[in-house]
Amino acid sequence: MGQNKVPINRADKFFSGEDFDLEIEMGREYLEGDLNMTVILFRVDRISTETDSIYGETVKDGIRYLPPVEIKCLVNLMEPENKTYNSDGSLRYLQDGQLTLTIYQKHLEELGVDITYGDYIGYQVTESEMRYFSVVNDGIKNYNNSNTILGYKGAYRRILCAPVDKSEFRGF
Amino acid sequence: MGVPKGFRKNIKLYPQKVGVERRQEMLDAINYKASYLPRGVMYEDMDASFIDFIKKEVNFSVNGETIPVIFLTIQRWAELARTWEFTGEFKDLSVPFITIVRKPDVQEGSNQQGLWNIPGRPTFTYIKVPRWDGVRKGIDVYKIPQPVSVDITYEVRIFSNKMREVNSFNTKIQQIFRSRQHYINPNEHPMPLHLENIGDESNIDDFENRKFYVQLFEVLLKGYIMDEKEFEVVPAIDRTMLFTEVSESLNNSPKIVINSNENNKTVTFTVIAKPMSESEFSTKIDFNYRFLRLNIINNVTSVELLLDGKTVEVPFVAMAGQTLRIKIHRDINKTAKFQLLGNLI
Repeated sequence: MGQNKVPINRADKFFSGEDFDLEIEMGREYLEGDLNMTVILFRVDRISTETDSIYGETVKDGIRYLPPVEIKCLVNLMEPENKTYNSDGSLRYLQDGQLTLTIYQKHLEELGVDITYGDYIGYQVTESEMRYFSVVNDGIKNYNNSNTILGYKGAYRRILCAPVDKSEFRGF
Repeated sequence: MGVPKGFRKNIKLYPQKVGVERRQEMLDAINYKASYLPRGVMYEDMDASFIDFIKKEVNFSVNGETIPVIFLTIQRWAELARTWEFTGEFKDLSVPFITIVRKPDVQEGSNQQGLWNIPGRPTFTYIKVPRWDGVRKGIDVYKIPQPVSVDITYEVRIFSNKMREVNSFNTKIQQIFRSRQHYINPNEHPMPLHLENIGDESNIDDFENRKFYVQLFEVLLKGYIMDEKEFEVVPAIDRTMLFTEVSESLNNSPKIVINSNENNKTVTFTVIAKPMSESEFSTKIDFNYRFLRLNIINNVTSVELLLDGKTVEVPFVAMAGQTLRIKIHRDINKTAKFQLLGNLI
């Protein structure tokens, strides 16, 4: 027996499901057609990934991922941060800024994929360099006002990613 | 179904060992299925044993369902790998659940009451194992160093939104630690756990947000590290060569005591030959003597006298500078004693 469904009738005097779909279609045309920004999603294969038996951490090069998926999205990569390993200000390094992706939910549904906390994202920053990030907020609860269109339904997800070290994951 | 009256759990069918026998039993357990050496213990072994303690010994359940126990590290994927099976539609973990966090800063150990360790890294004999290489019998000595004491702190938290569940878990922990310490056995090495502190981190102050109880139990493991890489197997000495140097000549000449009397011009040569001393020896004559008599005192059969190589018998005259050779016939195992009596000339 299927799950009961309740129709959404919010703002139905001037907005409907068709309007919602139209808005998304136009937005996607701009995002995926005009901007054409892409990232690569590496979904971790929970079955095949080799993990430490006690700590659950991945062993070196032990992460197995499902076939990578190219995702069209709006990419917002923050400015790198100047940091130090030691608290006394020594051993400086430049850490990649946080990566924020804005993705239409419909795009993910069409691809048949979902983004989960802990998955990895690769972003091609130059022709020869791909930087990797880990999903820290998969934005799965996208029914807040700002992620909806006129408060009708959640239209897109905002995904927050933190930089990862290559000893944890190095993709291709 | 009700439990019959008088129902008893944990019936001990076999007599439990105590005292020295119990200590030996614990030592045997350390060696069980081992190759003469004890199994090593490292941090991960202690961590695994502590997780087992929370999962299997504490084994906290609510309404018949075991509460998930999650050991957390900093890796996000590891967190997901530990929790995904307990998450719902939005991949959120729902209460109640228990987390374990090990403080990464393992401290210097206190299980030896702060006594200083043995300096250096000497190894000590653990067991001696007979060896036969097809030719020689021998013994291999299995040696281990002193374990390194460490104190590891674990933070166990229960997350729940029901006071009854928090009470129940707290009761269980208090019962386990009612005798101050509880032992876990990483790789069969008994190590004590101490309940150091119970804290409250409940998110109940912010009344506009979600509320749930978080109770923290800080548990200290007084453990030690035994690194198998530091174990040694060395062959013991199985053959020795013993050299003894002996000499054919006995450097143990008889003693001659000369007593002279200036008034009546008499002289007495007293010869004392101890057991195993030489029976034939020479002496230089210092003055002119006329030896008149031989007085045998003890253990002498006969005495041969040679003056400058010529056999003489008492009475005879010996001049200064001549050599008197004396040969004693006697039982060499006993002290012999005789006197030559004479006058000064």
